[in-house]
Amino acid sequence: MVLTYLHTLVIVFSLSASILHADRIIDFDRQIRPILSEYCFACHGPDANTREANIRLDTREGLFAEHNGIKPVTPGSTLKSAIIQVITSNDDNKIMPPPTTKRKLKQQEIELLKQWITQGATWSAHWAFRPIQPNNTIQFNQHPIDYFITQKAQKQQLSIAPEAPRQSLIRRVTLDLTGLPPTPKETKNFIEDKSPNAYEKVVDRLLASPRYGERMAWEWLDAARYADTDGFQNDPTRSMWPWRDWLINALNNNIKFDQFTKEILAGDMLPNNTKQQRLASAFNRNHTYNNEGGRIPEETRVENVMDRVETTSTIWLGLTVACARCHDHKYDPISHHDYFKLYDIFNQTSETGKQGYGRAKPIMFHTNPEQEKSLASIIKKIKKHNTSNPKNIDHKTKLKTLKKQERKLKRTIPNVMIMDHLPPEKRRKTFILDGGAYDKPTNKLVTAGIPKFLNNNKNNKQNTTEFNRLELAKWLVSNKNPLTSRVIVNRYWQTFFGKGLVTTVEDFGSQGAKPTHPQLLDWLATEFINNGWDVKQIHKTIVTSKTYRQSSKINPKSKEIDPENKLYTHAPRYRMPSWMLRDQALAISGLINTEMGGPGVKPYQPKGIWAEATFGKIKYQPDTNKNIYRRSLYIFWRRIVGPTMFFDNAKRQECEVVQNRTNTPMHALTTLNEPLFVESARAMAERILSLPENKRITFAFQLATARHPEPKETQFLTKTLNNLITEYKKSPNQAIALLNQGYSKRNPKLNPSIHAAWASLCSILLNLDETLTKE
Amino acid sequence: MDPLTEQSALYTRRQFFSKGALGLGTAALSNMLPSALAGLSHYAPKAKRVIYLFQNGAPSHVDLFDHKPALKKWHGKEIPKEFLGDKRFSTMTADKTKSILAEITKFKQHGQSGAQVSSFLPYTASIADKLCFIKSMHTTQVNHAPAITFFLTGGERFGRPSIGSWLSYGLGSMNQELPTFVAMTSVDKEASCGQMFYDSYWGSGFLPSVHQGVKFRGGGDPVLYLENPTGINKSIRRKQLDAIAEMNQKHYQRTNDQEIITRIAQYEMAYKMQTSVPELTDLSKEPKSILHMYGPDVNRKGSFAYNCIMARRLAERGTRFIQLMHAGWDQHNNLNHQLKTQCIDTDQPSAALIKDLEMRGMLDETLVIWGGEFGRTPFLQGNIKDTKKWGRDHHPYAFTIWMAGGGVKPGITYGATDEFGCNVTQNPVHVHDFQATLMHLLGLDHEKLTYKHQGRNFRLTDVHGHIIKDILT
Repeated sequence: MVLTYLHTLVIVFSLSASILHADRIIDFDRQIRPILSEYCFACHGPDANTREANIRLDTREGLFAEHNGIKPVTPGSTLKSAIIQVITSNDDNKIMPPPTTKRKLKQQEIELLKQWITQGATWSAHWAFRPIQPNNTIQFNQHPIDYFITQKAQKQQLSIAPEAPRQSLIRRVTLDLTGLPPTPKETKNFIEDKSPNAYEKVVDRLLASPRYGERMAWEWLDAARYADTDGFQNDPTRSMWPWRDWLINALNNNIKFDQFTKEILAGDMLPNNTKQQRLASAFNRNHTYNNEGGRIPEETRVENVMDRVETTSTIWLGLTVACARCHDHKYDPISHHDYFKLYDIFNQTSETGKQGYGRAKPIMFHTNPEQEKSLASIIKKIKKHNTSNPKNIDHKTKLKTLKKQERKLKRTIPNVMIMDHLPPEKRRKTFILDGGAYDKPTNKLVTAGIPKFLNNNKNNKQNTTEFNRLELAKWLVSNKNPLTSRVIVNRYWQTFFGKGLVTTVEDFGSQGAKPTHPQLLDWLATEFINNGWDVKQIHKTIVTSKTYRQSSKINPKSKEIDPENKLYTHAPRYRMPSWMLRDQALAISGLINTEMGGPGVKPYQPKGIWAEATFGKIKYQPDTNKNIYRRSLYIFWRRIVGPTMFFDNAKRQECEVVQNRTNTPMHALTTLNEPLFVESARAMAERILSLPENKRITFAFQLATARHPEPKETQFLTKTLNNLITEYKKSPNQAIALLNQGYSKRNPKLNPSIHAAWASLCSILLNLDETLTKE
Repeated sequence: MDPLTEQSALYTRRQFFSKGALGLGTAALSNMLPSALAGLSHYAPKAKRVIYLFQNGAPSHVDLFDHKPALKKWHGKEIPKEFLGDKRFSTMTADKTKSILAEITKFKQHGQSGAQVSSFLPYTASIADKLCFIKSMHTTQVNHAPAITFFLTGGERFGRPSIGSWLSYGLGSMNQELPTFVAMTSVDKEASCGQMFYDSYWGSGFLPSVHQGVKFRGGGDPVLYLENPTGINKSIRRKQLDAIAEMNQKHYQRTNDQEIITRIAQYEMAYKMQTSVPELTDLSKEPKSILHMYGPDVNRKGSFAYNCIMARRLAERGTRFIQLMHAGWDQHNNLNHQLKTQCIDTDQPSAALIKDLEMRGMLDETLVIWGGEFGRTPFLQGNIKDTKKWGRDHHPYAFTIWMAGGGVKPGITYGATDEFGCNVTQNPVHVHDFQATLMHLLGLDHEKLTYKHQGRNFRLTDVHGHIIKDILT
């Protein structure tokens, strides 16, 4: 080790004069593997079936050993390294990658490879598959997050920004933790609180709010491809909302992440499992379900099993195992065989794939106490009649009526699709499917297990007793697995900073991005495990850092050096997700209805959306009560045509963890014209008009942005308001027309022209970039 | 980063930094529609745009285009086993006797090319010399949603970008006031079938959502939330937008965030669309003769005929990919009655669109495609004695589509099937080949237009696809 190090140093020193930028030691994992992965692995990588010339470059052995007289890499000698010879060849028959691939290495990439070889070609395993590095030798003299962020920023002569003004900070953290803006009173209290732990008190209050679980549920609903219908033909309704409510409760109760994992993946298999734990297992039934006529059930069933494999892998492992469905993964060491080891785990449930119309078995009846009682009583009566005299005609009629009653009652009870585990005698045999096709089983029998490359414990359970869903869940959150904790804290980072430390939150494999701050990622991952997988605690850790609390103002120097803010020298500012914009408008207007849970609600929707997608078979009936003002996560989600007021959201058709953020005219049309936004502006105006005239502009502006307007802004908004008043005074009918929209009624005591002018001003405020943006 | 992505990044960055703080000219505007890659085709395109007349449910090739006299001879007799092999059929016919069903229409040869077209399609027959029939299409999917998804995205499951969004990503926008990719749907008058229109058929999959198709609706606002709310007239809206822009500019000076400038431009664009979309859908200035050509349904919003004339109007205004979807072709048990209805709905408008484009000199640069997701079985689904309930099941092994215009040879037939129209016997064209050819005509190399997602460079044609060179002009 020491020798290699010295050797490398000497070489670097002696060559530094002749090679540009050779003053830095090339990091194999960060700089070289991505090149090899990009250009070489497809034909010289993990996939044994397509491996050319039996040369593989994704392993240490493959890179350095000699095969048939070819040595891909000889440390220290580019001349004796075949890889350099082929990538720089002028001969079309020799050059790699071959011209048919239409891919070519860039000069800079070739130079990097050369330098790496010259420097001694040190090799290391892919970062994400190595054990988490706890960094326990570092003595932190500040918040560890700030330590790592500052350390890296300083290398570029940058430092983190000063703390954001209090009104920005409270708005940011309230939106981040609850998905709603702070009330003017909350903002005021925080600004006036001079105690040293003022901010911490706010954070604790927010973490304890029931709105926290609702906010944190959103990303889980996207990842879990949660919807209220099956998708595909006829798009039948299902009732999986009890699972959604379970999720919100679990997050609010701060169920520890390891327990959470066991419950949602295998609640039905836990010893002495409760009804709630069985309900948790519905997570694995949230996938789409194809009920198309003429469909072969096995095809549907296989597709669903695959969906479970891929969803689980994305959420907990950050691995793109779908590639291995048809063949060995081209870039990561996941074999076709490994895929089916995971497949076997999810293959052992009684789901048949037959048409299920929203309640494909296995299901559970999600009864409320009253229904529970009635059902029990009917079942008891049926039993009695069955045993007393089954042949008596009277009994028969009575029995018929009772059974009818039972069926009727069961229809009113939500049927939640959950998981079960087949008993040993019914266990399915898993054969590798050729090309992943349901109708092409090979004769290769596979038994459950984790991918070989992650199995670092040869004596673990999968070799002795049955490895099943519960064992998988336990392994996912065990210290034997280097991925889960990293993957999860990385997504939390994304929740608060808009992007992950690993920007490819869905892919921690060799084609994914490298962490911008690997030590920080590992510190967070360790911290998460050491605090007992306490989610609220890790959220608190993140939001109390200076890195999180800094101003989002972009300073010119960091913009020039680091335009993408990879160094986090200012807080991010970005447009909030569309669901949060809607919730924000509801909160600002005071229309919001904070009732929790229950079946999906149906707010306003333009006429004909469902009808047009379903040939008039399904028509949308909006609610005609205060359900219209419920939070976004309770909105009924028809899978084939999702709620119309959301944009950039996951489609809820397959697991999605990446955040999509675009900026298009359609978004402007939504927040300007969508009826709920229009009604919110009108209700907001009503709130404002209850104040004395001289306080109105300030209050309105504060409601929208949490800050005081500058004098110039107040002036400008007052002028705009007066213009609008003039307009509406000219046409009071217009004013009334605007005010009469929406389910809630306007306050008739207000002057319509003034009210309407204020409503249009409030619409302006709801559409300010500052209001749409978390900053 | 692949070259195109890199170009895109450069372009956007250049645009950002070259425009001063509030340089809100057209350059800034161009950032809001997907114009980032405009003009970056791999080679000279033959077609500038595509109008795809997608026929959901799978039209019966043996009744409409692929004339097979043997069907009549074998009517009621079981199809010889060697034609079926171990082929997979839907559960509706998988275990049943497969008796040949004679074509229910009459065929005649048309034009100089002598193309066989069914008597159910007189208007299509009249333009046969302008069309290129591909009779050797085949696919791997046997159910509707997966097969349509396969045709439109290259993969059978939801989640991949559709053709239109690939083109938007690869070629950018040709106009500033209308979307680059528009989808419109229609249904047969009886709404007889159960296939639905999923957003994913025009979705952007893993591409940025700016590339997704904008669904123009048949009724109400063609674009969601396009119209100002009642009580906000144009002058008030203008005042609102000016105020938003002014406030946003102030905030830009405070924050230095360039995204604010983009947002100002997007709001302005939304305003423009409020004018350009109603102008687009206003048919009052169309000459009577033109309207007449599209047939009696042309004024009924949401009909196939209405969507066809709208497609031409969108094409004129620079929309690159126009995807019409007409459902109702799934004749499992109502072939006699429903096939005719479907043909009446679609035949005249489809032909009118071709003629209309030609009259305006636009056909040469517009690729028009007509076809479904698979074909229908030459054998019967149902009881041979119960004529009223005759039907045909899904048939992915051979079917016909036609193409016309931009870069495609007119008046030819490509590929052939066996005596029953059951299997392809000559020049098979797989769905990925069709997609590769489409991309080629638009000037894109289907192997080069890639997007990195989940660690892999994805493309429309997966790892397949060969250009059908013989049909190119």
